[in-house]
Amino acid sequence: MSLTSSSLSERLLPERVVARARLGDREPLARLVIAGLAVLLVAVMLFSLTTGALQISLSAVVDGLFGQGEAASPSELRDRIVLMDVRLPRVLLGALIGAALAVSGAVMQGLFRNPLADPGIVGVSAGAGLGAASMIVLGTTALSPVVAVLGIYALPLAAFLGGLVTTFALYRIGTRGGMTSIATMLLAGIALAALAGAATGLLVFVADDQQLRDLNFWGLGSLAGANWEKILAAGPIIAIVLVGVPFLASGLNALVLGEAAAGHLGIRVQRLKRIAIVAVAAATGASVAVSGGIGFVGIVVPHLLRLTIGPDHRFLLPACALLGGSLLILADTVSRTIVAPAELPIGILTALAGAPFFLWILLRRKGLIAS
Amino acid sequence: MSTPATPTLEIEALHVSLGGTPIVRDVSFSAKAGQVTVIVGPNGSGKSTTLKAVTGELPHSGRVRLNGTEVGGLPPEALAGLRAVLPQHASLTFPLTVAEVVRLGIRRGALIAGSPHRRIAEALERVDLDGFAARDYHSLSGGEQQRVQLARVLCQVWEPCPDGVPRWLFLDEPISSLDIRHQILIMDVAADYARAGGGVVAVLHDLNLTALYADHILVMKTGRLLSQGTPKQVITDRLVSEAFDHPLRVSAVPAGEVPFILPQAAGPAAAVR
Repeated sequence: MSLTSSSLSERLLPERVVARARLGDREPLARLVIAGLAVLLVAVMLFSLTTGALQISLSAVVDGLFGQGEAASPSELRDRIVLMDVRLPRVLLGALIGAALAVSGAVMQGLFRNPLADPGIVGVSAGAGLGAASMIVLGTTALSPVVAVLGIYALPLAAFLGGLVTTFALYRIGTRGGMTSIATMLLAGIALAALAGAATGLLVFVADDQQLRDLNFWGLGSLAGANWEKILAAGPIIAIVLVGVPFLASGLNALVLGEAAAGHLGIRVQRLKRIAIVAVAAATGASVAVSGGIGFVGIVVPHLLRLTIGPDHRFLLPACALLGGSLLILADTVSRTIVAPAELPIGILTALAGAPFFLWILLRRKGLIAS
Repeated sequence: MSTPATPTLEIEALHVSLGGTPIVRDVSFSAKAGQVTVIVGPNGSGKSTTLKAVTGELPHSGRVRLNGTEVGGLPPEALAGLRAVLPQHASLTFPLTVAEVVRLGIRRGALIAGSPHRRIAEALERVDLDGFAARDYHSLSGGEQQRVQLARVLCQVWEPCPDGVPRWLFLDEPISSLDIRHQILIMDVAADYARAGGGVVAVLHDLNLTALYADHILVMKTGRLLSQGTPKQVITDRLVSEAFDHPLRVSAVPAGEVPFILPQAAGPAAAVR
């Protein structure tokens, strides 16, 4: 099977893109796809801003966003409040979290040299969840000095720490002599997730009613609590990761050949691995802290994109950020409209779509597990 | 680095242990740029381990100096510009095209003029893979994959001796999965690289191709250097028989020129001789 051409896409794509793809170079194709995904993200954001229990017209959205004209009537005023204080933070948070989850999935897969690695599947989210739960339950008692110092950043930083410890443990357990055993990594992930789950269970056991409600709501995975404060808490961490990871791209590309070969190509492999682990833990931690466990975005998005533009991380990482954001906003729009006025937690939706997808990858690549 | 660079690879008292077991013991040799240096020896004699230690892949004691500079003191980026390494096995995690694999060898800023595509096409042509650029690497045969990796390695140190500073190719069994035509083709590529001023150090199993292509041969046995020298000095009845623990007879083709080993069966027939 050729990776680069099919008759349909050849008719739809510009000639130059097709010609370069015939030379095995998917770079022009990747640039085109990234531009398309950027347009898609803007379109999805506008769509989500207009859609909901209250329909807001596109022109009202544009007016509201760019401050054109005063709200004349009470209904316009109401629309504007819904738009600016409810929907806009939710859409922005969706874009941030979706990007963070997809990018950390892609980085983790590159780091572990394994297309099945995903923070949700191998226990990093569970570790981050334990960190967040500790802060929710103990933040008013044992950890209250931490909250006093860090404020709104206490929760995401605790989740980051939990994710970091888990990722590091996973790497140490799963990797021997530079080779990560896929089976060992998945099994270690199950054990670490169980351990983190048990510790989270202990916290639930000692939590009071209000904390229980917080924990429960947060554990389902949802963007429902989106507000500007959460964006302020998680946004900077995710933004730093998103801006930073493109610098890992050429290293992750070389790592496709293996650690030794990457080293021979002049990559400082140990440093690359350390930075990648911290980036994954930071993005996952910040996401988990504000939106709970939203699974499978990190595995579905990179996989779909690799099928289209190939595994070159220089393009894969930005494309993941754009598509991850779009998909999560779409999923969230569905989750808050499909059973309106109630809301379906988005984590249920992504798992419903993502888990069968994961199994499909497994069936297609059975050989991976045996190796 | 004010001292003028010496165009050699110098190995002094190399020791490598893996899991407490000494694999390479007190190996010292030097290889010259402009020559093909070949390491031969039976399985488990420490050939590949020596190469891996020299390229920095395995922890070792002893000195490794490339062009007069201690290798351990060079930053990875600088070292990558000085030498490329072809591994014995290379598996990819993700489905890259052939062109994308070769491109990994082109370092940032290495191409001052020209496009990477021309360089990639040229490299693929050298290893007899023109027309393969868009193929999925995983769909290739083992021998084709080996040649793609060589094309990548060539791209990493494309000019054999720019500004009078030789570049080095370290090749770990570069022809092990190749048919005879491609074995010769790849050895020609290596020999051309050396003739143009670069250095080539290869681990080979085929003694006859070694005799044909090597300028300098290192014979290893049980982790030590058994002997070294030109093909005529090293490929002799006594030495190859000792190295491989098997009675071997060396002839010459054409008469008196290139040493040639004709394998013989062990057992009673061998005992008669």
